[in-house]
Amino acid sequence: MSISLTTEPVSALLAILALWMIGVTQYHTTVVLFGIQTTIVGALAAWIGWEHKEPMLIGVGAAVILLKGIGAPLYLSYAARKIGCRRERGLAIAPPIQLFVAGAAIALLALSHPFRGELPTTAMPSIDILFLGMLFMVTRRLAVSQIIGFLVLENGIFLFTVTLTHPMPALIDMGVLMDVLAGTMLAGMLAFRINNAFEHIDVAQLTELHG
Amino acid sequence: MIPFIGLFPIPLIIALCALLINRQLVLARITAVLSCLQTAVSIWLWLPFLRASTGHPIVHHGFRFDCTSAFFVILTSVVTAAAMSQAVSYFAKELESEHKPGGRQVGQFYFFTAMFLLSMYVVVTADNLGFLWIGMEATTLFSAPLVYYHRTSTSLEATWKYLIVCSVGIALGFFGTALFYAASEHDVALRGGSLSIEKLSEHAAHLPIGLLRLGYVFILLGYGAKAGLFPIHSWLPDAHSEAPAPTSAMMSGALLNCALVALWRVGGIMEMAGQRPLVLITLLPLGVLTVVTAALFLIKQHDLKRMLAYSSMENVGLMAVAIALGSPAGFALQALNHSLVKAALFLLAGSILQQYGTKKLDDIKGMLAAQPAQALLLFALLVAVAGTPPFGGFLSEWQILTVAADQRQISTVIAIVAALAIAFIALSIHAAAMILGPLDKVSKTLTAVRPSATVTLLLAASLVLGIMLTPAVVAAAGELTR
Repeated sequence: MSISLTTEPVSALLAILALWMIGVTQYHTTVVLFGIQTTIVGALAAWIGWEHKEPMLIGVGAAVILLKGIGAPLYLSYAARKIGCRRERGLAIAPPIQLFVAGAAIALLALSHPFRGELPTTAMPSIDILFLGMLFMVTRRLAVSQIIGFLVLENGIFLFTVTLTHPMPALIDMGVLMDVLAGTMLAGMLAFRINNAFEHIDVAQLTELHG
Repeated sequence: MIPFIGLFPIPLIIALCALLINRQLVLARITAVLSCLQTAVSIWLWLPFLRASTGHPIVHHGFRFDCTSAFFVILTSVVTAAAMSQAVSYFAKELESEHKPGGRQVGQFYFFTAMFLLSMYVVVTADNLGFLWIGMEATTLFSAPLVYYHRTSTSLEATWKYLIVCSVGIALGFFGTALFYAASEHDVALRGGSLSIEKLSEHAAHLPIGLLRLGYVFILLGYGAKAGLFPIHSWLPDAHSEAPAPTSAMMSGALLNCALVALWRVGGIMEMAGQRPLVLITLLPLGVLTVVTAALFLIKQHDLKRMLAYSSMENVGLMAVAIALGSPAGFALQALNHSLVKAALFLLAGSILQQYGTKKLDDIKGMLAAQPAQALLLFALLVAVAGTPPFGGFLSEWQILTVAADQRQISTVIAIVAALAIAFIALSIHAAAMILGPLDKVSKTLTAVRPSATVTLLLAASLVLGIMLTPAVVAAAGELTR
């Protein structure tokens, strides 16, 4: 019981942070918000590991805080500084409309509340974060923003796996984390190359290949 | 565990050589020999499992030792060995060209190829859905640098699309995996949840259906993106056409199978849960649409490698149909034939591109007059990949169509037959334009080349499969993926 008393408000807080990111166009702010969100989710995982007496999960939580919560934002803001982009221009959908869409979708999800009793209550905010991450990805055009959207989406799934009644095996979470970090490194490097090759990192303009 | 661990030493040696050896051709030759050795090793280690078709699969530490694993491990090794053997002459030609690749560039190529191979082994042998996912994401991460090998702006675009589409796709697949885990927590016998395919299938009937169904849809989206199923196929023609020839061969001949094996295994869980209808109504239309879309795109192709990529997509669609219909023989035979022929085609296309210096179909002309042997080989391969007798592809496609007709999926049969006909005509027209036609400026300067032994061998294998295939072999192939 004591676990869900903590996980529920924390999950809600994480979803609110994700919603906040949708409304922000300053690149630096989104990176900071993402860092805060990831650090909280990592701390939550470590705390759940402590409660379940699972040292491996504590380790995963610590790794998430250090590598994904602090390391990845530093790397991404370094990449953005090097490339020289500060804010999103030309979003596919304006932030207020995005917020409206996101809010409406979350409200619908909360009202319909599927799988009551089969999933823990934290499943709802996890799915919200997953959805918000995807929305972030499809509406941003900067390569580095898309990476952030992907990582937010991943945070939602991670939150889902650790707040299950029996958290997913920590070995799997660790493997997933390593894959995600390697993917972030690779995508960051490609963003540099995109900037050098095209003098922009607007992925909407990558349209040479078609048909 | 020994058959699994035994797959690791040789690729790790290749990776080590790639880091240490700075001379491109020495490295290429060493890898060619080692990858042929790897094929021998994987046949030696896995053949016993291929034979033992009955009884429960052996599961150890989250890996499965059954027919399906054995079949795809061996197939992956064979395709890799073919690609690496051909890579020697590919890099020899590259070194003569203007854009001479540096020692480091080739070293990176071999390093990532070795790791790519290892991650594919993990995918096809995994029994734990988590390991399966980790392996699948690793295949994307290790093959993305290979797609970017040429360092051009188009290859950069292809790599970016590939990385983002596949990563996001399979991130959704991981959510599906987590839903399966959440479902398994409701079963007392599984005590606190399980990700094992074996255990999930065993207890599938007692798991909450709603969660399983939702999980399946997410997994289908995720691994379907990786397999290049319509409508998440946009990355496939880009990545397969921009990658260097040996990588294209491995991606088409081995990597696509990996994603389909994952769908096959998860489909098995759903079947045990009594959810066959869900698999049928989701995967079957996606498969048929993939075949039809690919056939239509084949008509208007201007690029040799893109044409081959769309043909791969068509075959993926056929395999997805086989999986949806629950036809193990159709799936196994189609995978086998497609892997052999498509690997051969991409390897041959690689050397044609190097000779003509272009990928444009319009600029490749008069091959029969300039290089008769190679022209005949190309013709035979294109005919084989279109599913014409006497090659193996004909019988596997026939098998899939019979199963569909048996299950009264008449609209599926009609759509597939129409799409296959369109694809055949499109491929024939493109082939005729390349092979026949007058000699032009470029083809006049070409000298006749000896057709590559690897490509010829792969074609011969497909021919043997087509001739040797009797009902008994079909039945045996059905046992393979049980």
